[in-house]
Amino acid sequence: MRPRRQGATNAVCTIADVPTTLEPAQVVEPGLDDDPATDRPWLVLVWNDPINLMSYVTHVFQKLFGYSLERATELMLDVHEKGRAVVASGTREEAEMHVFHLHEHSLWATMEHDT
Amino acid sequence: MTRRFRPPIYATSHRGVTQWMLNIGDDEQQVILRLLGELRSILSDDDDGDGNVDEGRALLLQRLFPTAYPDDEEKEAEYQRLMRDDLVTSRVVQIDAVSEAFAGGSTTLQESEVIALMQSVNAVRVVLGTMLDVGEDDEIGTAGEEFEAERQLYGFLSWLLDWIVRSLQT
Repeated sequence: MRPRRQGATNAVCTIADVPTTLEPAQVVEPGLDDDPATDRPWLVLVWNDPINLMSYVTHVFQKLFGYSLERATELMLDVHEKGRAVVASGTREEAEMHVFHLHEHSLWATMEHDT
Repeated sequence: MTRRFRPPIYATSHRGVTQWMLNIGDDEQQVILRLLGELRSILSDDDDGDGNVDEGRALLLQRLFPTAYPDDEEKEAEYQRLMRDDLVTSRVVQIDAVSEAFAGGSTTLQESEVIALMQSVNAVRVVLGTMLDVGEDDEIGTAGEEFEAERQLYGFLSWLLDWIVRSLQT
């Protein structure tokens, strides 16, 4: 919660109340419990596996993420040739739902924090 | 005279309504139903009631329940606790939708039934592929070796899945 400035009241503040000299600003230092990692998006990765058909993987990417055939094929080829591809990103909850839907389609999907 | 090849499943549109025609024989349908029934049984008997999962069964199913958080045991445990049952339910619902569609004897399917068929057929392929230890080169062994029947089924389901995907792309 944002700290209230010393001396502040609930009264409506008018221009006349504004001090003419600058007061030292109160700076809130980040505590040890603050995790800057929580601001970073989560990445959804799909990994290469020898069982799922290329046509099937492409179709799943189109269906789940609304990608064009060209974009879905590009991602599928990244998975196939590079071993993995980032197919989506978002909050942890969003990424978990994507991973769940990919798992429903028997794709090998994981999630990790963006670095 | 040559006979025109007709795919095992294909989409047809009439007055803006799309339906899928199933062009596989009763024997093949029965094979698919039997395999889906076996998968349903394995999924439903996932543990022995005490939370202990049979090791052989767990290995077969490992690709159906992949790890979501490979680098975080705590988050992974939470994910599995929250999502695993939903994943089982989702697969069972799809299998039941296919069984119902096939049991009706109809040769036409709706889109939701085709999608259920696609996901269910692929789930069986994934289990069979795990059993056969399918590798990157698509090598699934040679005739006469162990698991000959499973190899044949894997090949049949791969062929069928490819046609299912094609039918949905049109």
